[in-house]
Amino acid sequence: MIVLKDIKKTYYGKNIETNVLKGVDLMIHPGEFVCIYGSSGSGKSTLLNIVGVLDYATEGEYTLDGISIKNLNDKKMAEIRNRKIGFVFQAYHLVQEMNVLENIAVPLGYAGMSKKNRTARAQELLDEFHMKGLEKKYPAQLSGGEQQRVSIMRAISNRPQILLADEPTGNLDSDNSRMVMEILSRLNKEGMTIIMVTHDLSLAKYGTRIIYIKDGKIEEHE
Amino acid sequence: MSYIIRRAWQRLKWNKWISILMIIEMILGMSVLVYAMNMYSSLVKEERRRANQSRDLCLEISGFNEKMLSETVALTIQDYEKIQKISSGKTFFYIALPEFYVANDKNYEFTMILADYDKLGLKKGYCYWGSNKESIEDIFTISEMVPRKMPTRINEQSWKTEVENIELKNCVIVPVEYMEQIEQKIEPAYIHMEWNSKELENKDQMLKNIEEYLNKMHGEVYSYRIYSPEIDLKNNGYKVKQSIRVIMQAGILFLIAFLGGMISIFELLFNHRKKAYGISLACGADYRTVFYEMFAEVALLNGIGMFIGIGIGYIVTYFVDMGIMIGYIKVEGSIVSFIASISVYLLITIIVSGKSYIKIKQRKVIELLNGD
Repeated sequence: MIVLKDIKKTYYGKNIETNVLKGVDLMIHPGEFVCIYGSSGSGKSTLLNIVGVLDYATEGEYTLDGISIKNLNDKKMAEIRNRKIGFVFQAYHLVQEMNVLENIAVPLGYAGMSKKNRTARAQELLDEFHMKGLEKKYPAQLSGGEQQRVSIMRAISNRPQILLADEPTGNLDSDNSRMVMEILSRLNKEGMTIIMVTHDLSLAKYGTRIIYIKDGKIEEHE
Repeated sequence: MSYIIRRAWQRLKWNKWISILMIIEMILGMSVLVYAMNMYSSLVKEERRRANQSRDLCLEISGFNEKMLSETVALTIQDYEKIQKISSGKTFFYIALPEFYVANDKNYEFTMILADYDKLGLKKGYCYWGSNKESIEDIFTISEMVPRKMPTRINEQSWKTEVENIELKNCVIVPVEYMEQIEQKIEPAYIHMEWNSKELENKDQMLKNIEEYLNKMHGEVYSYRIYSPEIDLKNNGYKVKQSIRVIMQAGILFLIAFLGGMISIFELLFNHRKKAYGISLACGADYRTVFYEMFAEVALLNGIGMFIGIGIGYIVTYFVDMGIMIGYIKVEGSIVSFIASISVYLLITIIVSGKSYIKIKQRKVIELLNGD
Protein backbone atom coordinates (compact mmCIF):
# COMPACT_ATOMS: atom_id res chain seq x y z
CA MET A 1 0.00 0.00 0.00
CA ILE A 2 1.26 3.44 -0.93
CA VAL A 3 0.35 6.33 1.30
CA LEU A 4 1.31 9.92 0.54
CA LYS A 5 0.47 12.66 3.05
CA ASP A 6 0.85 16.32 2.28
CA ILE A 7 3.69 15.73 -0.14
CA LYS A 8 5.43 18.90 -1.25
CA LYS A 9 8.30 19.28 -3.65
CA THR A 10 10.22 22.48 -4.21
CA TYR A 11 13.10 23.01 -6.63
CA TYR A 12 15.62 25.66 -5.67
CA GLY A 13 17.47 27.59 -8.32
CA LYS A 14 19.36 30.88 -8.31
CA ASN A 15 17.01 33.12 -6.33
CA ILE A 16 14.10 31.07 -7.62
CA GLU A 17 11.92 28.56 -5.80
CA THR A 18 9.61 26.40 -7.85
CA ASN A 19 6.85 24.60 -5.95
CA VAL A 20 6.07 21.65 -8.16
CA LEU A 21 3.94 19.72 -5.66
CA LYS A 22 1.91 21.73 -3.18
CA GLY A 23 0.54 19.18 -0.77
CA VAL A 24 -0.51 15.89 -2.35
CA ASP A 25 -2.52 13.34 -0.40
CA LEU A 26 -2.91 9.97 -2.06
CA MET A 27 -3.52 6.36 -1.11
CA ILE A 28 -2.99 3.52 -3.59
CA HIS A 29 -4.11 0.01 -2.76
CA PRO A 30 -2.48 -3.17 -4.01
CA GLY A 31 -3.76 -4.30 -7.39
CA GLU A 32 -4.90 -0.90 -8.57
CA PHE A 33 -4.10 0.53 -11.99
CA VAL A 34 -3.85 4.23 -11.30
CA CYS A 35 -3.46 6.72 -14.12
CA ILE A 36 -2.15 10.13 -13.15
CA TYR A 37 -3.31 12.47 -15.80
CA GLY A 38 -2.30 16.10 -16.22
CA SER A 39 -0.80 18.61 -18.56
CA SER A 40 2.92 19.23 -19.00
CA GLY A 41 4.43 20.82 -15.88
CA SER A 42 1.60 19.79 -13.61
CA GLY A 43 3.91 17.74 -11.37
CA LYS A 44 2.80 14.25 -12.37
CA SER A 45 6.30 12.95 -13.23
CA THR A 46 7.68 14.51 -10.06
CA LEU A 47 5.04 12.68 -8.05
CA LEU A 48 5.88 9.42 -9.77
CA ASN A 49 9.62 9.90 -9.09
CA ILE A 50 8.90 10.39 -5.40
CA VAL A 51 6.75 7.26 -5.29
CA GLY A 52 9.53 5.36 -7.11
CA VAL A 53 12.17 6.63 -4.61
CA LEU A 54 14.10 8.26 -7.43
CA ASP A 55 13.63 11.65 -5.81
CA TYR A 56 12.78 12.97 -2.34
CA ALA A 57 9.86 15.06 -1.20
CA THR A 58 10.76 18.40 0.36
CA GLU A 59 8.00 17.93 2.92
CA GLY A 60 5.39 15.37 3.73
CA GLU A 61 5.21 11.74 4.58
CA TYR A 62 5.57 8.78 2.21
CA THR A 63 4.85 5.35 3.54
CA LEU A 64 5.26 2.17 1.52
CA ASP A 65 3.72 -0.97 3.03
CA GLY A 66 3.83 0.70 6.43
CA ILE A 67 7.50 1.75 6.19
CA SER A 68 8.35 5.44 6.20
CA ILE A 69 10.67 6.19 3.30
CA LYS A 70 12.08 9.31 4.97
CA ASN A 71 14.17 7.39 7.49
CA LEU A 72 15.61 4.83 5.13
CA ASN A 73 19.29 4.81 4.20
CA ASP A 74 20.60 4.53 0.65
CA LYS A 75 20.95 0.75 0.84
CA LYS A 76 17.35 0.21 1.97
CA MET A 77 16.03 2.53 -0.73
CA ALA A 78 18.05 0.65 -3.34
CA GLU A 79 16.50 -2.57 -2.07
CA ILE A 80 13.02 -1.10 -2.53
CA ARG A 81 13.86 -0.02 -6.09
CA ASN A 82 15.22 -3.47 -6.79
CA ARG A 83 12.58 -5.71 -5.23
CA LYS A 84 9.38 -3.76 -4.78
CA ILE A 85 9.28 -1.30 -7.63
CA GLY A 86 9.82 -1.55 -11.37
CA PHE A 87 10.17 1.53 -13.51
CA VAL A 88 9.28 2.09 -17.17
CA PHE A 89 10.47 5.35 -18.70
CA GLN A 90 9.30 7.31 -21.70
CA ALA A 91 12.83 7.29 -23.13
CA TYR A 92 13.23 3.52 -22.42
CA HIS A 93 16.63 4.15 -20.70
CA LEU A 94 18.24 0.93 -21.87
CA VAL A 95 21.99 0.45 -21.36
CA GLN A 96 23.53 0.81 -24.81
CA GLU A 97 26.56 -1.40 -24.17
CA MET A 98 24.38 -4.32 -23.08
CA ASN A 99 22.35 -6.62 -25.30
CA VAL A 100 18.65 -7.32 -24.76
CA LEU A 101 19.22 -10.27 -22.45
CA GLU A 102 21.68 -8.32 -20.29
CA ASN A 103 19.41 -5.29 -20.13
CA ILE A 104 16.49 -7.35 -18.89
CA ALA A 105 18.72 -8.96 -16.27
CA VAL A 106 20.09 -5.72 -14.73
CA PRO A 107 17.81 -5.76 -11.65
CA LEU A 108 18.48 -9.47 -11.23
CA GLY A 109 22.24 -8.83 -11.15
CA TYR A 110 21.85 -6.25 -8.42
CA ALA A 111 19.58 -8.68 -6.56
CA GLY A 112 22.53 -11.08 -6.38
CA MET A 113 21.11 -13.70 -8.74
CA SER A 114 23.55 -16.08 -10.42
CA LYS A 115 24.28 -15.74 -14.13
CA LYS A 116 22.47 -19.00 -14.92
CA ASN A 117 19.30 -17.89 -13.16
CA ARG A 118 19.45 -14.40 -14.63
CA THR A 119 19.67 -15.82 -18.14
CA ALA A 120 16.83 -18.26 -17.48
CA ARG A 121 14.52 -15.54 -16.14
CA ALA A 122 15.34 -13.16 -19.01
CA GLN A 123 14.68 -15.94 -21.54
CA GLU A 124 11.38 -16.69 -19.85
CA LEU A 125 10.30 -13.08 -20.25
CA LEU A 126 11.43 -12.94 -23.87
CA ASP A 127 9.29 -16.00 -24.56
CA GLU A 128 6.34 -14.48 -22.75
CA PHE A 129 6.64 -11.27 -24.75
CA HIS A 130 7.19 -13.14 -28.03
CA MET A 131 10.62 -11.61 -28.54
CA LYS A 132 12.67 -14.79 -28.77
CA GLY A 133 15.63 -14.40 -31.10
CA LEU A 134 16.43 -10.84 -30.06
CA GLU A 135 18.63 -11.83 -27.09
CA LYS A 136 21.91 -10.75 -28.63
CA LYS A 137 20.63 -7.55 -30.21
CA TYR A 138 21.67 -4.19 -28.83
CA PRO A 139 19.21 -1.33 -28.12
CA ALA A 140 20.36 0.61 -31.17
CA GLN A 141 19.27 -2.32 -33.33
CA LEU A 142 15.70 -2.37 -31.98
CA SER A 143 12.59 -0.41 -32.93
CA GLY A 144 10.92 1.93 -30.42
CA GLY A 145 8.24 -0.60 -29.60
CA GLU A 146 10.78 -3.36 -29.07
CA GLN A 147 12.87 -1.13 -26.82
CA GLN A 148 9.89 -0.24 -24.69
CA ARG A 149 8.95 -3.92 -24.34
CA VAL A 150 12.51 -4.68 -23.26
CA SER A 151 12.20 -1.83 -20.75
CA ILE A 152 8.98 -3.37 -19.39
CA MET A 153 10.61 -6.80 -19.17
CA ARG A 154 13.48 -5.27 -17.21
CA ALA A 155 11.05 -3.51 -14.90
CA ILE A 156 9.20 -6.73 -14.06
CA SER A 157 12.14 -9.16 -14.16
CA ASN A 158 12.47 -9.19 -10.37
CA ARG A 159 8.70 -9.63 -9.94
CA PRO A 160 8.07 -6.30 -8.17
CA GLN A 161 4.74 -5.53 -6.53
CA ILE A 162 4.54 -2.10 -8.10
CA LEU A 163 5.20 -0.95 -11.64
CA LEU A 164 5.64 2.77 -12.30
CA ALA A 165 5.34 3.94 -15.89
CA ASP A 166 6.17 7.50 -16.87
CA GLU A 167 4.58 8.24 -20.25
CA PRO A 168 5.43 4.73 -21.48
CA THR A 169 3.90 5.35 -24.91
CA GLY A 170 5.22 8.90 -25.32
CA ASN A 171 7.71 7.93 -28.05
CA LEU A 172 5.63 5.24 -29.72
CA ASP A 173 3.19 5.10 -32.60
CA SER A 174 -0.43 4.10 -32.02
CA ASP A 175 0.04 0.39 -32.71
CA ASN A 176 2.96 0.10 -30.34
CA SER A 177 1.17 2.28 -27.81
CA ARG A 178 -1.77 -0.08 -27.82
CA MET A 179 0.54 -3.07 -27.48
CA VAL A 180 2.26 -1.54 -24.46
CA MET A 181 -1.02 -0.62 -22.79
CA GLU A 182 -2.34 -4.16 -23.30
CA ILE A 183 0.77 -5.50 -21.63
CA LEU A 184 0.28 -3.17 -18.66
CA SER A 185 -3.38 -4.18 -18.42
CA ARG A 186 -2.47 -7.84 -18.42
CA LEU A 187 0.14 -7.30 -15.70
CA ASN A 188 -2.43 -5.48 -13.62
CA LYS A 189 -4.92 -8.31 -14.05
CA GLU A 190 -2.22 -10.67 -12.79
CA GLY A 191 -2.07 -8.66 -9.56
CA MET A 192 0.61 -6.01 -10.12
CA THR A 193 -0.09 -2.50 -8.88
CA ILE A 194 0.49 -0.07 -11.71
CA ILE A 195 0.83 3.69 -11.52
CA MET A 196 1.07 5.33 -14.90
CA VAL A 197 1.61 8.96 -15.75
CA THR A 198 0.14 10.26 -19.00
CA HIS A 199 -1.05 13.42 -20.64
CA ASP A 200 -3.25 11.37 -23.01
CA LEU A 201 -6.73 10.88 -21.61
CA SER A 202 -7.45 8.03 -24.02
CA LEU A 203 -4.70 6.02 -22.37
CA ALA A 204 -5.82 7.00 -18.89
CA LYS A 205 -9.01 5.01 -19.50
CA TYR A 206 -6.99 1.77 -19.25
CA GLY A 207 -6.69 2.39 -15.53
CA THR A 208 -9.04 1.37 -12.75
CA ARG A 209 -8.66 4.87 -11.30
CA ILE A 210 -7.81 8.22 -12.87
CA ILE A 211 -6.22 10.99 -10.86
CA TYR A 212 -6.13 14.43 -12.34
CA ILE A 213 -3.25 16.62 -11.20
CA LYS A 214 -3.06 20.30 -11.88
CA ASP A 215 -0.50 22.86 -10.65
CA GLY A 216 0.96 20.46 -8.13
CA LYS A 217 -2.32 19.44 -6.51
CA ILE A 218 -4.70 16.57 -7.08
CA GLU A 219 -7.91 17.98 -8.47
CA GLU A 220 -10.12 14.98 -8.72
CA HIS A 221 -10.26 11.22 -8.63
CA GLU A 222 -12.32 9.06 -10.95
CA MET B 1 30.73 -9.14 -6.78
CA SER B 2 31.08 -11.08 -10.02
CA TYR B 3 28.24 -9.04 -11.52
CA ILE B 4 30.07 -5.84 -10.63
CA ILE B 5 33.27 -7.06 -12.27
CA ARG B 6 31.29 -8.23 -15.30
CA ARG B 7 29.74 -4.75 -15.66
CA ALA B 8 33.15 -3.11 -15.30
CA TRP B 9 34.62 -5.41 -17.95
CA GLN B 10 31.71 -4.68 -20.28
CA ARG B 11 32.32 -0.94 -19.97
CA LEU B 12 36.02 -1.41 -20.71
CA LYS B 13 35.21 -3.44 -23.81
CA TRP B 14 32.67 -0.88 -24.95
CA ASN B 15 35.30 1.86 -24.83
CA LYS B 16 37.91 -0.47 -26.28
CA TRP B 17 40.24 2.04 -27.91
CA ILE B 18 40.32 4.44 -24.98
CA SER B 19 41.02 1.50 -22.69
CA ILE B 20 43.87 0.27 -24.91
CA LEU B 21 45.47 3.72 -25.04
CA MET B 22 45.30 4.10 -21.28
CA ILE B 23 46.75 0.64 -20.76
CA ILE B 24 49.66 1.44 -23.09
CA GLU B 25 50.41 4.64 -21.21
CA MET B 26 50.32 2.82 -17.89
CA ILE B 27 52.64 0.12 -19.27
CA LEU B 28 55.14 2.74 -20.41
CA GLY B 29 55.17 4.64 -17.15
CA MET B 30 55.27 1.57 -14.96
CA SER B 31 57.99 -0.26 -16.92
CA VAL B 32 60.25 2.81 -16.90
CA LEU B 33 59.69 3.39 -13.19
CA VAL B 34 60.29 -0.27 -12.28
CA TYR B 35 63.46 -0.45 -14.37
CA ALA B 36 64.84 2.74 -12.84
CA MET B 37 64.01 1.61 -9.31
CA ASN B 38 65.63 -1.79 -9.89
CA MET B 39 68.81 -0.14 -11.11
CA TYR B 40 68.87 2.27 -8.21
CA SER B 41 68.29 -0.54 -5.70
CA SER B 42 71.07 -2.62 -7.26
CA LEU B 43 73.48 0.30 -7.05
CA VAL B 44 72.57 1.10 -3.46
CA LYS B 45 72.84 -2.60 -2.56
CA GLU B 46 76.33 -2.73 -4.00
CA GLU B 47 77.30 0.47 -2.15
CA ARG B 48 76.12 -1.02 1.13
CA ARG B 49 77.94 -4.27 0.47
CA ARG B 50 81.21 -2.45 -0.14
CA ALA B 51 80.76 -0.24 2.88
CA ASN B 52 80.34 -3.36 5.04
CA GLN B 53 83.41 -5.18 3.75
CA SER B 54 86.19 -5.70 6.27
CA ARG B 55 88.91 -5.63 3.61
CA ASP B 56 88.30 -2.27 2.05
CA LEU B 57 91.45 -1.80 -0.05
CA CYS B 58 92.28 -3.77 -3.21
CA LEU B 59 95.07 -4.06 -5.71
CA GLU B 60 94.19 -3.40 -9.34
CA ILE B 61 96.53 -4.71 -12.04
CA SER B 62 96.29 -3.48 -15.63
CA GLY B 63 98.39 -4.78 -18.51
CA PHE B 64 99.36 -2.19 -21.14
CA ASN B 65 102.22 -3.70 -23.06
CA GLU B 66 100.45 -6.20 -25.28
CA LYS B 67 103.66 -7.65 -26.71
CA MET B 68 105.07 -8.66 -23.37
CA LEU B 69 101.85 -9.64 -21.60
CA SER B 70 102.11 -13.34 -22.42
CA GLU B 71 105.75 -13.54 -21.33
CA THR B 72 105.61 -11.63 -18.06
CA VAL B 73 103.67 -12.52 -14.93
CA ALA B 74 101.98 -9.73 -13.01
CA LEU B 75 102.98 -11.04 -9.58
CA THR B 76 105.32 -13.77 -8.33
CA ILE B 77 105.57 -15.64 -5.05
CA GLN B 78 108.62 -13.54 -4.25
CA ASP B 79 106.57 -10.37 -4.81
CA TYR B 80 103.96 -11.66 -2.41
CA GLU B 81 106.55 -12.42 0.27
CA LYS B 82 108.01 -8.94 -0.10
CA ILE B 83 104.60 -7.26 0.11
CA GLN B 84 103.75 -9.22 3.26
CA LYS B 85 106.95 -7.85 4.81
CA ILE B 86 106.11 -4.29 3.81
CA SER B 87 102.60 -4.63 5.23
CA SER B 88 103.76 -6.40 8.41
CA GLY B 89 101.82 -9.51 7.42
CA LYS B 90 98.51 -7.71 6.95
CA THR B 91 98.05 -8.60 3.30
CA PHE B 92 95.24 -10.97 2.34
CA PHE B 93 96.21 -12.64 -0.90
CA TYR B 94 94.73 -15.35 -3.11
CA ILE B 95 94.54 -16.31 -6.73
CA ALA B 96 91.21 -17.61 -8.06
CA LEU B 97 91.89 -19.67 -11.14
CA PRO B 98 88.90 -21.06 -13.09
CA GLU B 99 89.53 -24.67 -14.07
CA PHE B 100 87.82 -26.62 -16.75
CA TYR B 101 88.56 -30.33 -16.99
CA VAL B 102 87.27 -33.04 -19.29
CA ALA B 103 87.34 -36.68 -18.20
CA ASN B 104 85.22 -39.78 -18.81
CA ASP B 105 83.21 -37.82 -21.39
CA LYS B 106 82.18 -35.35 -18.69
CA ASN B 107 82.97 -31.68 -18.19
CA TYR B 108 84.14 -30.57 -14.77
CA GLU B 109 84.26 -26.93 -13.69
CA PHE B 110 85.68 -25.60 -10.46
CA THR B 111 87.87 -22.82 -9.12
CA MET B 112 91.40 -23.43 -7.90
CA ILE B 113 92.28 -21.08 -5.06
CA LEU B 114 95.97 -20.49 -4.41
CA ALA B 115 96.18 -19.17 -0.87
CA ASP B 116 98.59 -18.67 2.01
CA TYR B 117 98.14 -21.82 4.16
CA ASP B 118 99.63 -20.09 7.20
CA LYS B 119 96.91 -17.42 7.06
CA LEU B 120 94.17 -20.05 6.71
CA GLY B 121 95.56 -22.46 9.27
CA LEU B 122 95.90 -25.30 6.77
CA LYS B 123 98.54 -28.04 6.61
CA LYS B 124 101.03 -28.16 3.78
CA GLY B 125 101.18 -31.26 1.62
CA TYR B 126 97.42 -31.32 1.09
CA CYS B 127 94.99 -29.82 -1.31
CA TYR B 128 91.58 -29.09 0.17
CA TRP B 129 88.37 -29.79 -1.76
CA GLY B 130 85.10 -27.96 -1.12
CA SER B 131 82.00 -30.02 -0.25
CA ASN B 132 80.37 -29.46 -3.67
CA LYS B 133 83.45 -30.66 -5.50
CA GLU B 134 84.63 -33.65 -3.47
CA SER B 135 83.56 -36.02 -6.20
CA ILE B 136 86.25 -34.67 -8.52
CA GLU B 137 89.27 -35.22 -6.27
CA ASP B 138 90.09 -38.60 -7.83
CA ILE B 139 89.67 -37.31 -11.37
CA PHE B 140 91.73 -34.16 -11.05
CA THR B 141 94.89 -34.79 -9.08
CA ILE B 142 97.46 -32.20 -8.09
CA SER B 143 101.02 -33.47 -7.95
CA GLU B 144 102.60 -33.85 -4.53
CA MET B 145 99.38 -32.99 -2.78
CA VAL B 146 97.07 -35.37 -1.04
CA PRO B 147 93.41 -34.47 -1.47
CA ARG B 148 91.47 -33.69 1.67
CA LYS B 149 88.06 -32.38 2.65
CA MET B 150 87.99 -28.66 3.28
CA PRO B 151 87.46 -27.80 6.99
CA THR B 152 83.93 -26.62 7.64
CA ARG B 153 85.06 -23.20 8.86
CA ILE B 154 86.59 -22.56 5.45
CA ASN B 155 84.05 -24.51 3.39
CA GLU B 156 81.27 -22.16 4.54
CA GLN B 157 83.11 -19.00 3.55
CA SER B 158 82.53 -16.94 0.45
CA TRP B 159 85.00 -14.32 -0.68
CA LYS B 160 83.41 -11.38 -2.45
CA THR B 161 85.26 -9.51 -5.14
CA GLU B 162 84.01 -6.60 -7.21
CA VAL B 163 82.76 -8.83 -9.97
CA GLU B 164 82.01 -12.16 -8.36
CA ASN B 165 81.26 -14.08 -5.24
CA ILE B 166 83.60 -17.07 -4.75
CA GLU B 167 82.01 -19.78 -2.66
CA LEU B 168 84.77 -21.96 -1.30
CA LYS B 169 82.60 -25.07 -1.26
CA ASN B 170 82.90 -24.97 -5.07
CA CYS B 171 86.70 -24.70 -4.99
CA VAL B 172 89.92 -26.56 -4.33
CA ILE B 173 92.55 -24.75 -2.22
CA VAL B 174 96.22 -25.28 -2.96
CA PRO B 175 99.27 -23.56 -1.43
CA VAL B 176 100.25 -20.18 -2.85
CA GLU B 177 103.68 -21.61 -3.63
CA TYR B 178 102.02 -23.70 -6.35
CA MET B 179 101.80 -20.54 -8.43
CA GLU B 180 105.43 -21.00 -9.50
CA GLN B 181 104.41 -24.15 -11.37
CA ILE B 182 101.46 -22.57 -13.16
CA GLU B 183 102.70 -19.00 -13.62
CA GLN B 184 101.72 -18.80 -17.27
CA LYS B 185 98.09 -19.61 -16.49
CA ILE B 186 97.74 -16.76 -14.02
CA GLU B 187 96.20 -13.65 -15.49
CA PRO B 188 96.00 -10.30 -13.65
CA ALA B 189 92.23 -10.63 -13.24
CA TYR B 190 92.69 -13.79 -11.15
CA ILE B 191 94.99 -12.09 -8.64
CA HIS B 192 93.37 -10.70 -5.50
CA MET B 193 95.28 -8.71 -2.93
CA GLU B 194 93.34 -6.96 -0.20
CA TRP B 195 93.85 -5.04 3.04
CA ASN B 196 91.78 -3.86 5.96
CA SER B 197 92.74 -0.18 6.27
CA LYS B 198 91.97 -0.20 10.00
CA GLU B 199 94.73 -2.75 10.59
CA LEU B 200 97.43 -0.80 8.78
CA GLU B 201 99.89 1.54 10.45
CA ASN B 202 101.07 4.42 8.28
CA LYS B 203 98.60 3.23 5.73
CA ASP B 204 99.36 5.79 3.01
CA GLN B 205 103.11 5.25 3.16
CA MET B 206 102.77 1.50 3.25
CA LEU B 207 100.46 1.39 0.24
CA LYS B 208 102.71 3.76 -1.64
CA ASN B 209 105.66 1.48 -0.93
CA ILE B 210 103.77 -1.54 -2.25
CA GLU B 211 102.76 0.27 -5.43
CA GLU B 212 106.30 1.51 -5.97
CA TYR B 213 107.73 -1.95 -5.43
CA LEU B 214 105.39 -3.60 -7.93
CA ASN B 215 105.84 -0.89 -10.53
CA LYS B 216 109.57 -1.26 -10.16
CA MET B 217 109.41 -5.02 -10.66
CA HIS B 218 106.92 -5.24 -13.50
CA GLY B 219 106.24 -1.66 -14.48
CA GLU B 220 107.23 -2.18 -18.11
CA VAL B 221 104.23 -4.42 -18.69
CA TYR B 222 101.74 -3.74 -15.91
CA SER B 223 100.51 -0.80 -13.88
CA TYR B 224 99.42 -1.24 -10.26
CA ARG B 225 96.94 0.74 -8.25
CA ILE B 226 95.67 0.25 -4.71
CA TYR B 227 92.18 1.67 -4.31
CA SER B 228 89.05 1.59 -2.22
CA PRO B 229 86.17 -0.10 -4.10
CA GLU B 230 83.71 1.78 -1.92
CA ILE B 231 85.11 5.20 -2.82
CA ASP B 232 85.56 4.17 -6.43
CA LEU B 233 81.91 3.19 -6.64
CA LYS B 234 80.81 6.43 -5.01
CA ASN B 235 82.77 8.42 -7.58
CA ASN B 236 81.67 6.35 -10.58
CA GLY B 237 78.24 5.85 -9.18
CA TYR B 238 77.42 9.56 -8.97
CA LYS B 239 76.90 9.93 -12.70
CA VAL B 240 75.04 6.65 -12.88
CA LYS B 241 72.71 7.82 -10.13
CA GLN B 242 72.06 11.01 -12.05
CA SER B 243 71.12 8.99 -15.13
CA ILE B 244 68.92 6.69 -13.10
CA ARG B 245 67.19 9.68 -11.50
CA VAL B 246 66.43 11.10 -14.92
CA ILE B 247 64.88 7.81 -16.02
CA MET B 248 62.91 7.58 -12.79
CA GLN B 249 61.64 11.11 -13.27
CA ALA B 250 60.58 10.20 -16.81
CA GLY B 251 58.66 7.24 -15.43
CA ILE B 252 57.00 9.38 -12.78
CA LEU B 253 56.11 12.03 -15.36
CA PHE B 254 54.54 9.37 -17.55
CA LEU B 255 52.46 8.22 -14.61
CA ILE B 256 51.44 11.74 -13.61
CA ALA B 257 50.40 12.39 -17.20
CA PHE B 258 48.55 9.10 -17.12
CA LEU B 259 46.76 10.11 -13.91
CA GLY B 260 45.77 13.47 -15.38
CA GLY B 261 44.66 11.80 -18.58
CA MET B 262 42.68 9.20 -16.72
CA ILE B 263 40.91 11.78 -14.57
CA SER B 264 39.97 13.76 -17.70
CA ILE B 265 38.82 10.69 -19.59
CA PHE B 266 36.74 9.39 -16.73
CA GLU B 267 35.22 12.83 -16.29
CA LEU B 268 34.23 12.69 -19.93
CA LEU B 269 32.96 9.15 -19.55
CA PHE B 270 31.01 10.15 -16.47
CA ASN B 271 29.18 12.84 -18.41
CA HIS B 272 28.50 10.30 -21.11
CA ARG B 273 27.37 7.67 -18.64
CA LYS B 274 25.19 9.63 -16.25
CA LYS B 275 22.09 7.93 -17.61
CA ALA B 276 23.70 4.49 -17.36
CA TYR B 277 24.53 5.12 -13.71
CA GLY B 278 21.00 6.43 -13.20
CA ILE B 279 19.61 3.24 -14.72
CA SER B 280 21.76 1.12 -12.40
CA LEU B 281 20.48 3.05 -9.39
CA ALA B 282 16.90 2.92 -10.63
CA CYS B 283 17.19 -0.86 -11.07
CA GLY B 284 18.28 -1.34 -7.49
CA ALA B 285 22.01 -0.64 -7.19
CA ASP B 286 22.95 1.50 -4.23
CA TYR B 287 25.59 4.23 -4.47
CA ARG B 288 28.21 1.96 -2.92
CA THR B 289 27.64 -0.66 -5.59
CA VAL B 290 28.02 1.96 -8.29
CA PHE B 291 31.32 3.02 -6.65
CA TYR B 292 32.48 -0.61 -6.70
CA GLU B 293 31.67 -0.77 -10.41
CA MET B 294 33.71 2.37 -11.06
CA PHE B 295 36.52 1.15 -8.84
CA ALA B 296 36.53 -2.23 -10.58
CA GLU B 297 36.67 -0.60 -14.00
CA VAL B 298 39.57 1.66 -13.08
CA ALA B 299 41.32 -1.12 -11.15
CA LEU B 300 41.05 -3.54 -14.09
CA LEU B 301 42.34 -0.93 -16.53
CA ASN B 302 45.23 0.06 -14.29
CA GLY B 303 45.86 -3.49 -13.22
CA ILE B 304 46.39 -4.76 -16.75
CA GLY B 305 48.77 -1.89 -17.48
CA MET B 306 50.53 -2.30 -14.14
CA PHE B 307 51.21 -6.03 -14.43
CA ILE B 308 52.41 -5.82 -17.99
CA GLY B 309 54.49 -2.75 -17.11
CA ILE B 310 56.08 -4.47 -14.11
CA GLY B 311 56.74 -7.54 -16.27
CA ILE B 312 58.45 -5.48 -18.96
CA GLY B 313 60.38 -3.54 -16.33
CA TYR B 314 61.72 -6.77 -14.83
CA ILE B 315 62.51 -8.29 -18.24
CA VAL B 316 64.49 -5.18 -19.20
CA THR B 317 66.19 -5.28 -15.78
CA TYR B 318 67.45 -8.83 -16.22
CA PHE B 319 67.92 -9.18 -19.96
CA VAL B 320 68.63 -5.78 -21.46
CA ASP B 321 71.78 -3.76 -20.87
CA MET B 322 71.12 -0.12 -21.63
CA GLY B 323 74.74 0.77 -20.87
CA ILE B 324 73.76 2.93 -17.92
CA MET B 325 74.93 0.79 -15.02
CA ILE B 326 78.59 0.32 -14.11
CA GLY B 327 79.62 -2.86 -15.91
CA TYR B 328 80.38 -5.19 -13.04
CA ILE B 329 77.32 -4.39 -10.95
CA LYS B 330 74.58 -6.95 -11.38
CA VAL B 331 71.22 -5.28 -11.89
CA GLU B 332 68.51 -7.26 -10.15
CA GLY B 333 64.84 -6.90 -9.40
CA SER B 334 63.93 -5.41 -6.08
CA ILE B 335 60.88 -5.93 -3.89
CA VAL B 336 60.90 -2.18 -3.28
CA SER B 337 60.10 -1.47 -6.92
CA PHE B 338 57.29 -4.01 -6.84
CA ILE B 339 55.79 -2.46 -3.69
CA ALA B 340 56.20 1.05 -5.12
CA SER B 341 54.40 -0.03 -8.30
CA ILE B 342 51.49 -1.47 -6.35
CA SER B 343 51.30 1.72 -4.28
CA VAL B 344 51.24 3.91 -7.40
CA TYR B 345 48.56 1.65 -8.89
CA LEU B 346 46.38 1.88 -5.79
CA LEU B 347 46.83 5.63 -5.55
CA ILE B 348 45.80 6.21 -9.16
CA THR B 349 42.85 3.83 -8.85
CA ILE B 350 41.55 5.41 -5.67
CA ILE B 351 41.95 8.99 -6.93
CA VAL B 352 40.25 8.38 -10.28
CA SER B 353 37.38 6.23 -9.01
CA GLY B 354 36.95 8.45 -5.95
CA LYS B 355 36.61 11.60 -8.08
CA SER B 356 34.01 9.97 -10.30
CA TYR B 357 32.12 8.63 -7.31
CA ILE B 358 31.94 12.04 -5.65
CA LYS B 359 30.23 13.37 -8.78
CA ILE B 360 27.65 10.59 -8.68
CA LYS B 361 26.97 10.93 -4.97
CA GLN B 362 26.15 14.60 -5.40
CA ARG B 363 23.25 13.72 -7.69
CA LYS B 364 19.88 12.10 -7.13
CA VAL B 365 18.84 9.13 -9.22
CA ILE B 366 16.36 11.14 -11.26
CA GLU B 367 19.01 13.79 -11.98
CA LEU B 368 21.35 11.15 -13.37
CA LEU B 369 18.55 9.63 -15.45
CA ASN B 370 17.80 13.05 -16.88
CA GLY B 371 21.49 13.54 -17.64
CA ASP B 372 21.90 16.45 -15.19
